[in-house]
Amino acid sequence: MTMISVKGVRKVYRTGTSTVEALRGVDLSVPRGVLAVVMGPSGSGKSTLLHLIGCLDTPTAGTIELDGQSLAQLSSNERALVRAKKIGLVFQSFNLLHNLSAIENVELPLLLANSSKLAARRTARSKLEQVGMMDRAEHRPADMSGGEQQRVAVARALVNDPEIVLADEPTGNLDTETGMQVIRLLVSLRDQGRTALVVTHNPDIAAVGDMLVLFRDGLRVDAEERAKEATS
Amino acid sequence: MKFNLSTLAWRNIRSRRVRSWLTVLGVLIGVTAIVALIAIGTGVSTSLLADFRTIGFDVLLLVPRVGFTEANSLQSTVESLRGGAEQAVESLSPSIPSEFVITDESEGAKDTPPSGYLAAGAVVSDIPSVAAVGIIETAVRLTQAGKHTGMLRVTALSVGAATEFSGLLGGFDVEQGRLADPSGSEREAVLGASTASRTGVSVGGEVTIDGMRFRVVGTLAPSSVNTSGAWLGAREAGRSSEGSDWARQEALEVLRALANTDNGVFVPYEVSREIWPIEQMSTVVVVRVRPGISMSETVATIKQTLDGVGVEVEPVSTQELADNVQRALGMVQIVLASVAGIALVVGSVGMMNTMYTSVLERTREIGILKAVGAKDRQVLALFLIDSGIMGLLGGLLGLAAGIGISFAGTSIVARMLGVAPFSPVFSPGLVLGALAFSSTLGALAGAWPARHAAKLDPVRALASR
Repeated sequence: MTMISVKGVRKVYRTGTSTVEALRGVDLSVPRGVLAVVMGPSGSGKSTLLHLIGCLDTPTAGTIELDGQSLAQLSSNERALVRAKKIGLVFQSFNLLHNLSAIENVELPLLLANSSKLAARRTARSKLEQVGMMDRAEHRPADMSGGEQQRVAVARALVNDPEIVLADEPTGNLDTETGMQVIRLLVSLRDQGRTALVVTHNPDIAAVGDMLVLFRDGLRVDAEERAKEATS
Repeated sequence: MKFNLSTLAWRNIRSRRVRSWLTVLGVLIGVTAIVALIAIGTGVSTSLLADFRTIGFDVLLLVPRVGFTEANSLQSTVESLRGGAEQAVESLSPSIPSEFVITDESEGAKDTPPSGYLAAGAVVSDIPSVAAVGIIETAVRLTQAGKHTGMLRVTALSVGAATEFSGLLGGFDVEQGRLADPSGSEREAVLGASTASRTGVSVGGEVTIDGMRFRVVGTLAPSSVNTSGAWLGAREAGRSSEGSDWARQEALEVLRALANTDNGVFVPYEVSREIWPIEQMSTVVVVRVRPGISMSETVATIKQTLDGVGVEVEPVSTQELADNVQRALGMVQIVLASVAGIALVVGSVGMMNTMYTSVLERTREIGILKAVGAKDRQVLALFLIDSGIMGLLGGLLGLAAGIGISFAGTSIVARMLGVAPFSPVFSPGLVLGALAFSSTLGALAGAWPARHAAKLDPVRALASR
């Protein structure tokens, strides 16, 4: 069953008089429980695709469906609701709030979704345990290493029990060892039946992925690449 | 949920401590000014109204009505009298405390009241709606008491004036001896409490007024009631009305005397009539209207009756004096509160600036919040709570500072207005209003930046550094 369905998606950015076509008609279908890895050079449109699937932005043309639900025509608040209920986001630069402790960062999505303080704290604690960060629960991001921050960010992405986890260069700011810890976390998500789409340059992630999607100049090129590989 | 946003807002405020405090300071100054001004204004107003209640709103002051031309013709006479007084003040013994010296600060010219004016009391007392009538006259005279020489206010009270109008007299209780017989011809004097204590003259002693000896037959207890509100009312009445300026000045002079019985000398009315020409005295006829009788109808009847016998009078009611005071104070309060309001608006513009800067600085944070599921209205609420907290904090601290300044400021204001010491009044409306106003203003100041934050595109917000 398809969890992420992208059909004919285009995204054009207009800055002043110039326009940039970040995506030029992309189709993608990711089945449930699959770890999809999106790779490609910088500026190829892979992060743009992740933002569109993550309801952070809207396509200029084309349709996106998550678990059968079309994102077209959704209002800003409805998109926020999809983010809160269905999607967990992990970023390259962790994006934790500096004024909050690790556990407060993790429970924030639940509180924004109107969970009770007690229930949110309980769930946040279990997610921190899952990523092995319970002993750092009361620490602020500034007091944690990059790897620790990213593990907290993963815990935050999982706290709503999302069906889809989207990660944008999750190991980009990490050393190899801590990067591997994060990769293992992503694999465990897939093993738990979650669908994950990871944008990365890291071949180690590509190696553990179920599906590799390649981008160049706003287009999917994985079919062409495979054809080239077959020819060669 | 709300708790969490408040926590987040509070953490944000604390994380930029100096700027937050400066913003709070802007609101604090505005709220302090408003609270202090309203508390002092209400305090003085309440205190003065209490004065008028003591006097009674059933009291009328009747003063002769005289045209300006006549009054001006006597200007030189008045000035020469004043010149004499000033010379006398200059020659005072250095041992006399300055508080003892009372100079005549009357601004208007005096005039000779029309003939028959003094008989007006008798005529008015026959009017059925009039309960009591008294005549009070006063002037500042050169007085010697013990080793002290200076200008003292000498006041003469007619029969009934002291007993029937004790409220107007601001407490007229004999401490030692007795009151002088108003209708007697003996040169007797009663000393106000301060006069007696400062000069050391007691019952059985003597004071010399304009070279004439008076035997002291009594001393008064310190005044328990202050009627400075009536004096202030008469002063405002003098400022606000043109045609009856002279009449208001008369009332002003007499009320000034009555507001300050502690420093005065009181002599029998008949003796005063015998010694001093009426044009050298400020004189009013005091009338108390019977309970339940219309003041305006009584005023009309008095005017008609006295016009009938050829005496033109200007009635000044205590209600009119009270209204004048309230009006004058109200105007001053509006002006000052407007200035304070401007300070508050400036403070809120400062807050708007702070909030807008904060939105710019926290753009990435807004992006993160949106990425983890925050709705636009939640981001809006976060910034409104942020500015609301600063507004409320400014309000609370401003309230505390305003209360402190009010207590310190009342004595200064009392001195400036020439009224008795009073307490500032903090109504629940003022306290709650100041807090509600400051937090609402804070939230409003944050509304535009908050709306800007709520509308931020999450991708662009996340991309900002």
